[in-house]
Amino acid sequence: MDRLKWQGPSILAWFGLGGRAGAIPGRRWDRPAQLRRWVSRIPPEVAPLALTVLAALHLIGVGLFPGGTNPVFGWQTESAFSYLTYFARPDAFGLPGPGERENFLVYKIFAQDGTTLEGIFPDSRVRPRLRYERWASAGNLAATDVPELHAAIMSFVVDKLPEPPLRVELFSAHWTWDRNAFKNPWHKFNPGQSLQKRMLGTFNGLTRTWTPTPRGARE
Amino acid sequence: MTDQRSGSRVAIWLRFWFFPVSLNQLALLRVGVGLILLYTLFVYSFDLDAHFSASGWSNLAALGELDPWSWHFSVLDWFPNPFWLWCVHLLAILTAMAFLIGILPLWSAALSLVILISYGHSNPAVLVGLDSLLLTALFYLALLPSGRALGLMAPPAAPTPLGGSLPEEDRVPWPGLPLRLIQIHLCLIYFFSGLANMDPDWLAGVDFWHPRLLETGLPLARDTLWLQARWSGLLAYGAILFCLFLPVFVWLDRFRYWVLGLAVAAHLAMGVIWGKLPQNLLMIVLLLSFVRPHHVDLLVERVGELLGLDEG
Repeated sequence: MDRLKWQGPSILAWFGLGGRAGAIPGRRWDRPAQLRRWVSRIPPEVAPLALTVLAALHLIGVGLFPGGTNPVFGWQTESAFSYLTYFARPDAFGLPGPGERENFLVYKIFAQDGTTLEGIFPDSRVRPRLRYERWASAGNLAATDVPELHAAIMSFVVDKLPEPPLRVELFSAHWTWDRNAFKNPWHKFNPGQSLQKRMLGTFNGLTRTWTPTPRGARE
Repeated sequence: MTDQRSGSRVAIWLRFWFFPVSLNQLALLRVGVGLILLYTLFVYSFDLDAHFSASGWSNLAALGELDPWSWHFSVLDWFPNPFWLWCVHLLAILTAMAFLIGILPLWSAALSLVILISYGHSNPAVLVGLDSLLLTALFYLALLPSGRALGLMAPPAAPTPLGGSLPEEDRVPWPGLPLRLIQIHLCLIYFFSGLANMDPDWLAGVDFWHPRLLETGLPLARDTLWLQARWSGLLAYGAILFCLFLPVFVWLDRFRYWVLGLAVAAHLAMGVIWGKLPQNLLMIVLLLSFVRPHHVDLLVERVGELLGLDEG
């Protein structure tokens, strides 16, 4: 029988548990005779074959659930291999995510001196870029319907201000446009008409309370 | 006869998964991934309190519910105190440095993996694509003996001071498996990225002109290239085709290095255009797994000769 002759070292050598790879043949172990006989009856291909079957199953899992979610059926997986090999992030390729483009938060601060200041969460001046990406990812999530997050973000923003504001309004902002309407050159496209804002709530600086906008009144 | 056939099939199957690897190749993968891991942790330092402490911007309990996994394992949850949070972060940086310079790389990779998972589950809102890629890379590198060359713990008996390739009879076949997994996993990432980009926004070139991208000071603001729709259309469709076909052509010897060269150029361009250099550099590092082991050895030897490291 033309079998593959497995001449590789013990798998322990792979993990460096025996000095240089290939230097710790299993027969040096002082195993009981019966166990030794039992082990010797196992074909040497069994361990590598079992490993490759596991590897193939793992890759099938990666193929069925890229980024933790099946793109066709929307199934999510929680199996151990997906936990170890990826988070549920589909934008693994290096292009801008939704937080860097469409979704973010806008806040309007009414200061004590009567001035009004408008800001964006995330702040586009944050550097280095990786920091901005993380804040943008946070802004993307916070722009969804998670009232607990809105309150926490408002408290974070107010704490950063040099003086307590009279009032702060928080909006979720979403870019939306008629894709048939814009034409090249794109820099002439009026982006101001494409921003859709929804009020999420108001912070009262006098009472230091956060009042979320009722869900039905947001649209 | 049937036995012979099944035996040869098993042999072909095993030869596909287990093959001799270059220690230099593994070491270069380790150094590349280690550098990007270290940079990622360094950048985390700026916003550690804001993202992960109880006094940060996020309501950690609410974020926990948004975590798609039901098991929210995170070492950071054990240390709500900012002082201990910083201690864990410092440990993470030291572990990444140990991995980079090759101190117990299997264990330092595994520990880095645990810490990276902890960051991810402590605040899933701040995860970016780079984290997924780093996680994948660390997972496979934790199975590879990447510290036997170009590392502080590289065995002194290595054939060359740089730890060049071992003689054929001493070559280790086990590491071929994780390396093959990296290759196939990368192909899957490219393929699904190609599928994901088949959306109207990408095909309309939105990523080239979006006002929010322009306001962050990316080179896109100089939009002379994007004045012509056909150029951006060509790029958008070309990128999709490239992502879909790379997983095929990279396995063909005749096209392998052409495809890899194109991929490196594309990733560098994407890194500059969208300011995502760490993530694109990590893709380039992982693409190194497709280079033939003896070519890597040759390259490292040449570089060693140029730097005078091969003397003695």
